[in-house]
Amino acid sequence: MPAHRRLVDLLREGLGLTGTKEGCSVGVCGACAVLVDGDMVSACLMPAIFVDGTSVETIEGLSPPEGPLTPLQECFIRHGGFQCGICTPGQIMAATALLRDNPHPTELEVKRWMMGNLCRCTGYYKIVESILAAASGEGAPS
Amino acid sequence: MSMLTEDAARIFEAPEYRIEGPLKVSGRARYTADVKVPDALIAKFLLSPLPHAHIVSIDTSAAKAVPGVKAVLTGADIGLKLFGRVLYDWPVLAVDQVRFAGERVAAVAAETREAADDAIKLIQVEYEDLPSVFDAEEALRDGAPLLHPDPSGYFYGMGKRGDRPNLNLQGYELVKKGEEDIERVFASAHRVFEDEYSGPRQHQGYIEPHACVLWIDGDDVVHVYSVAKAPFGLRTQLSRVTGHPSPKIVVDSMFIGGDFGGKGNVIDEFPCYYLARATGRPIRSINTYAEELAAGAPRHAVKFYLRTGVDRDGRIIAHQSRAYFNGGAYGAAKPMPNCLVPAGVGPLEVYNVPNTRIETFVSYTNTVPCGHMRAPGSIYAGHAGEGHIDHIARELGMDPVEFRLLNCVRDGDRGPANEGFHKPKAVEVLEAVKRETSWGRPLLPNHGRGVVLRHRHVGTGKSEIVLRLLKGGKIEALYATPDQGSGSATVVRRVAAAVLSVDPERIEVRYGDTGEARLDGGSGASRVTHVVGQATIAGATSLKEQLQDLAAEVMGWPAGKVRLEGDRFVVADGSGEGGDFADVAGRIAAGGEVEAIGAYDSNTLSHDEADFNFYAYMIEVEVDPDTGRVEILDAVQVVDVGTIINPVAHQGQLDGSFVFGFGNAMMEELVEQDGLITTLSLGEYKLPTQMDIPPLRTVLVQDPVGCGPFGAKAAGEITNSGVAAAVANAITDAVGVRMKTLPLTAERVFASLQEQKGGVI
Repeated sequence: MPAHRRLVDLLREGLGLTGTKEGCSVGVCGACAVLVDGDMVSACLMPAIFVDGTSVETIEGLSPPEGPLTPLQECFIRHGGFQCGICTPGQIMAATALLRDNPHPTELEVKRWMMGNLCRCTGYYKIVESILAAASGEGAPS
Repeated sequence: MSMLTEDAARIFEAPEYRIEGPLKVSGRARYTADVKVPDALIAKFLLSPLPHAHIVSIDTSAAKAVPGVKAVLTGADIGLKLFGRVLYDWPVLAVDQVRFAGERVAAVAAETREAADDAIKLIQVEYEDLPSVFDAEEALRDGAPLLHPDPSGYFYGMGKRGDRPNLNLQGYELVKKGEEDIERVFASAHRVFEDEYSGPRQHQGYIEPHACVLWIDGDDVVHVYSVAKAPFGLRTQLSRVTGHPSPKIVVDSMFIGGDFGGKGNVIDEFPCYYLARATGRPIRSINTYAEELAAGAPRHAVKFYLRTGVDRDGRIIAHQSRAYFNGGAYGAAKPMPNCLVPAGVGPLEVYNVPNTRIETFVSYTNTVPCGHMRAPGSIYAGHAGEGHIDHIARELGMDPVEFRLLNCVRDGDRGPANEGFHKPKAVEVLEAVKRETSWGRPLLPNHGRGVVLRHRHVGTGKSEIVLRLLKGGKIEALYATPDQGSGSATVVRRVAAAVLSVDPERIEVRYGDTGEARLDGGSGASRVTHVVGQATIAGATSLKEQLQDLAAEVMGWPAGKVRLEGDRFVVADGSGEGGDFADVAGRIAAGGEVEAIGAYDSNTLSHDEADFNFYAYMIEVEVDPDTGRVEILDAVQVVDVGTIINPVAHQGQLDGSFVFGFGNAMMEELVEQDGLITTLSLGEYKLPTQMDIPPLRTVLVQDPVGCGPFGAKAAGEITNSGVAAAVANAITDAVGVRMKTLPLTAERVFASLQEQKGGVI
């Protein structure tokens, strides 16, 4: 693998995992957020060779194609946490990392954590609402 | 259908699950950059580094020698091919001359991105500088370099191009109303006020860069996956530019990762066609975000000159304005007649002004060609007009809300461009501001409140949709409106279900490309709910009639007596028991295909009163006098709405509008220096983040009188245009300075405060 190849290229081009999106390419927009050994990273900034021996989790890993969505994904649908959807995989990966680390965040903690994920459609209000709903237990299979 | 039925009300009030939701939250929604076609080559483009230059020579030999490079094309290879949405004046690849920094000069197709990038760097171009002009007003002065001295060969898609007093104008318009000699009216005025306002270029800020995948199959059919929001429009353009017959071009746009006007114009599909021809291979092109910011089609920079006369009672009696839009090097990215930006007539759009003289100039300059961005130009018209109105009210010693109430349009009034309004709600939204907000209450020092009154039209156009009965009791709705995030598929589902009186889950909405689905005008101009919604009503009404007749036939019920209601077929005269929709529809479907085409064209509406959403803002700010920092403490948007079909998505559009307008107002500026855009990443062109957004409250003034289905209106581009003016007016209220240039950065407010104190800045 070429040393300059980025994780986002490996995922999207090499492995065909196109759920991870590329927006700004400079680590600002968060569309390419994935979890490497549980930590959120921008896949456009990380050289692919750095993930050798790690566990990389992408949006495709959250819910199988015909299987159930996670409660967080459910809440994004119910609460209008997406519109065009291009930033949504990154938003959901970021929020997944947050809720694993801090299952009951305050609104301010959600906003602070999610600051690195740009959304041009929603104005963010419904993204916060979706995440707080998931944190309160909504969206879990009944 | 304009009346809200019981079926419709019940369906529209139910919680909505967006049809595309599971795809979007799981990463399985397919955007253009996700499309993989076997054997595709990667396309890259060499962009001009100069704003205006003669091309002396281009040497592509070294580029062609790079391993993996399959084609290097220049204007000399493909000839002068001009593209555009209405005016075809933009070369696919430059020939002899470049007119802006960022213009495509050469195109490369290679096996890998690395090879394509290497080849781009090895193309040798010798340029000879030409004199440039960057400013919209300077471009119109005597002696300014002419960008298009001979436009006679440009195709213009809307009949005869309008008269232009200067060849450096893409478009010009003069609108007049009332007294021919407006100076006589101004001379009779009690007071006359003049103001100048300006705004910079701004970028749509969609997160998905432009991309396309294009290939030509063995039957010479051109297949295009594109981010274009008007796929039928792109098909027409591609056909005209390349000469390839339109029926042999198939455009598929489906999911678009943010539009806001920016996906109305596409550029790279045209050179990719020639690369596909040259190589016989599929071509894949994905822009970098730097290319988007440098050479997309951003919102125009503008300068407004406003002059308004009032009588002794504070009534506006005359208004004159001139708007200078900086159109950039080509008019191609604009879809309006004569490359005009409609907001040129917009500063006083909500007021009853008897005498007007309004001029709009759109100039050619050696800068990036400009296009549309969410309610094109309206934010600047709003900032200018509502700042001007606020200025007049305060100078007259009148409360800004009362001054607006005195002058706003009411039933039967016509706007400054003589436009008619269908049941205008200006008074209602202003009354709601008085009732529902803190307007008029005491304020702390350095706090201030601003109000704004504006409107946005409900969009118009044509669309067609196919509804057909499927086996298994489902009904398919097939249409070609790309999904840019507004929730139109769910609108179609709920409207079709409401008309048919069936469970919404029975309606399967499917997007089709231009080869499969029928004509659609594209997802823009706040038209989709109205136009696609009405097409859905037409199709569902026709399908319902067919199903009722067929139900009678297959079930042996009396003809003309069967009604579909409450998800059941009911026999009106009681001569049969009726039956569940699924059972009866299954029998009907077994007998053959049942299909209806719903078509709608808003141009057939007979009255000349258009539908508008009026809206108002009340925003309270605190200004830090030591730094100029402005904090929004309270923002209330009051919006006149019709019937709401998707309540969650509707509020989502209003939320998103506010934050979009907030970014435009407070932070967004594509900085241009000597014709070059210098803010080339989303780190430098700052968009609002989670931590920036202020608290927002929405007050709906609802009346189901819109021209959309069941009385719906629009939602997508209403309140974004009012934020800047409301904040600017609040700053004036707080600290006395009037901010006439956007964005309202701390630096700019601080400089104004220093100027106010007489300090040196």
